[in-house]
Amino acid sequence: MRIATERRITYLCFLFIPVTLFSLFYIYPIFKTFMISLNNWDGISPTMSFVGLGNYIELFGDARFQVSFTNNIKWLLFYMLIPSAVGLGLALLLNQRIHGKSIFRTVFFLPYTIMPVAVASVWRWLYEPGNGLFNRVLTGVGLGKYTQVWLGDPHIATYSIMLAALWWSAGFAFVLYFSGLQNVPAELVEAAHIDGASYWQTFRAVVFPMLLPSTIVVLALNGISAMRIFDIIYSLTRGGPAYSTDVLATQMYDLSFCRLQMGLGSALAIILLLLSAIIVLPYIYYTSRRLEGIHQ
Amino acid sequence: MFFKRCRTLILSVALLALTFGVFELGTTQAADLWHYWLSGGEKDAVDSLVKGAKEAYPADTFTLNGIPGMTEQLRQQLSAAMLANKPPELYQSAIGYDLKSYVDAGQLTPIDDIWKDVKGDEIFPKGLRNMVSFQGHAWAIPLNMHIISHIFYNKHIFDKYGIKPPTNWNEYNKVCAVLRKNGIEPMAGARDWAMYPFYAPLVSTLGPQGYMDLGNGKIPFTDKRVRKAFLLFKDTIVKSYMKGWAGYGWAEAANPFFEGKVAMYLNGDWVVALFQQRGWKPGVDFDFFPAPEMQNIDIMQVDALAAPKGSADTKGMRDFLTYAASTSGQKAFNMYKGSVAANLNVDPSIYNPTIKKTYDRIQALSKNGVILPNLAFCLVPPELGAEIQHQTERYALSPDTATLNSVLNTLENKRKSLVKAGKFANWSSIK
Repeated sequence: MRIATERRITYLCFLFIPVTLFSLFYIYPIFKTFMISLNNWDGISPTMSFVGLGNYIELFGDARFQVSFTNNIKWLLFYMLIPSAVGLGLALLLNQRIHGKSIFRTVFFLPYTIMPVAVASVWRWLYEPGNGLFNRVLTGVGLGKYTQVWLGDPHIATYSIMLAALWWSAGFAFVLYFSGLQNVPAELVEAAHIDGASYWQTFRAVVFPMLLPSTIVVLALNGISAMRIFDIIYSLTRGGPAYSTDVLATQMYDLSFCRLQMGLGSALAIILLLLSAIIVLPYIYYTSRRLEGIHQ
Repeated sequence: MFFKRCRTLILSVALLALTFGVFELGTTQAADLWHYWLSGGEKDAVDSLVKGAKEAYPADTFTLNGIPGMTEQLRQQLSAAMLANKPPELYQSAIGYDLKSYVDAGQLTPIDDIWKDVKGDEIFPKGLRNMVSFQGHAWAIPLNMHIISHIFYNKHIFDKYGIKPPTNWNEYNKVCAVLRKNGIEPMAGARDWAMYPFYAPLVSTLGPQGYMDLGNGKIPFTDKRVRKAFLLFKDTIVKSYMKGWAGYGWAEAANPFFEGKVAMYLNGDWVVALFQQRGWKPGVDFDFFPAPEMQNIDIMQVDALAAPKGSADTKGMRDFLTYAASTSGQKAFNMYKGSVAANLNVDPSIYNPTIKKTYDRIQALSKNGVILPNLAFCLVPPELGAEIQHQTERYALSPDTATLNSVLNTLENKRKSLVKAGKFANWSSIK
């Protein structure tokens, strides 16, 4: 009994600091943001005026919010599919017996180590309509009619940013898949080959199922990245032209600091938090179960 | 016993005096200025201003805190500092509504005594005073006057094809036709910057008073004249924009202008510093003319310095503002900024030929013309200003009737809600 009590006190002592810090720097700001979202506030006045759910109602009726929300969903689908698939493809490629493997590994992962703002700066030049690399190359190889206003055409601007994001983020999925591939037992693959399975059949029936843990981690983390995407968009287009590349985070920033509508911006932050939670909860559930399994 | 008590009392008083004395010495002569003048000539301008202030007040310590970005990034940091009650002594501000937002929130210190000391009512133009002095107090020291309604043009191209600067929209369209016929795009444009080129058609249609009324929330955006202004914008400026204009930033948009692929560029006169950095000579390689039908009207944007309430030091702030208002301070800043000094007593010989021409125009318009404040950044509340910026760009990208209807309705709904909330001010023009 005494030992149990002592143990409980020890646990409490160890938990006190992280729980306090977590409450102070995470729970409290969320609570405070929620409280602000129920008010009209410019972010600088000492007083606020209570509007209840008025900010949420205003947002849901706002055409710009709908564009931002749709763009976030596009980013979610993009991040779940394209960088993950490209990362997997690169990992499979480098899992073969090829020369200069370590150099390629470094090269593929290198873009991910660059700050998104710097990535945006480089890609802004690549996309420059007159002298940018893309249009220059297209013109140079006789495909001048396919040149585009990559960041200025509202119909393609989001996809142009996605291409920049792909270059930047595929290395992350690549590293996770590559390490996952090292855990696939070579005997299983060899056994499949001996049984006459083709490369594709081996991948589909043996390798990919073994990569499930890596896939879940990649999808979950890319999903989170999609919901919180801000810097590369803000640096490239600031959500423009004409709101076409806006996502919830860029709209939130614009409302809060450009338009001094902190209440509305906070409501958007809460919506973004809830959406992110929906995306991340299955991942947390999965990892918790895995940990429990390991523990047992 | 009595002696002991006295000794304790004397020591306590001495300790207190020493503590406050040290505190006083350590903080009364320092001022930190938050700004976002970080690119090229702008950075040189603010560095020069601080250097001059240090020479004028050697006992003071002036420091700069450059915040990368634009107004919103500065606001973000400033809001946090104000809420934490630790604002800087000074910050870079615009005039008009931007300043008013902080005044209404009770976050600024009135600078009436400094204003009086520097004779603000005599050295700054009257209209400018109206945008920094309201509610019975002066709130900021204006540093300069940037004109945002001039069209810069490549002199070599205009000379080659014998083109004269157009004075009305018909002439403008004829000039554009000549340029296009010769394989030259008429007008440079940039993402986020469609609003300034829209002002000239707006003033042409509404007139200066109508422009001010729109800025004061008195004219609905669904008014026929506003629609007409958008249509004029479409038939002139939008029609003349270079291909792919929305893909360029404002500085990148100057590249085709330098390369001789585009003949004109309508933007604020801060582009002069950029042109000069690229080696272009004012009056030789480039010049400007007022936008069509704006011969007696200019639109202006102003950089100013304001002092947040609750800043630690008042003496450093006072000294810096006093210097910033002086002819020396204004000269130090505007020599590099590429703008006309707000202080009318500054010797105009410091200006390059283009800025001197702007200076002469401002002097003339002060007597026989009108100088209007920037609609989106000075007159209307920030949320409407940002919306005007986005909706103008939206229409410039899709200039069709459906988009125009949507643009006008969006702006009008915003105006109505702001009228209901009593958010509009009642500004007068800068004259």
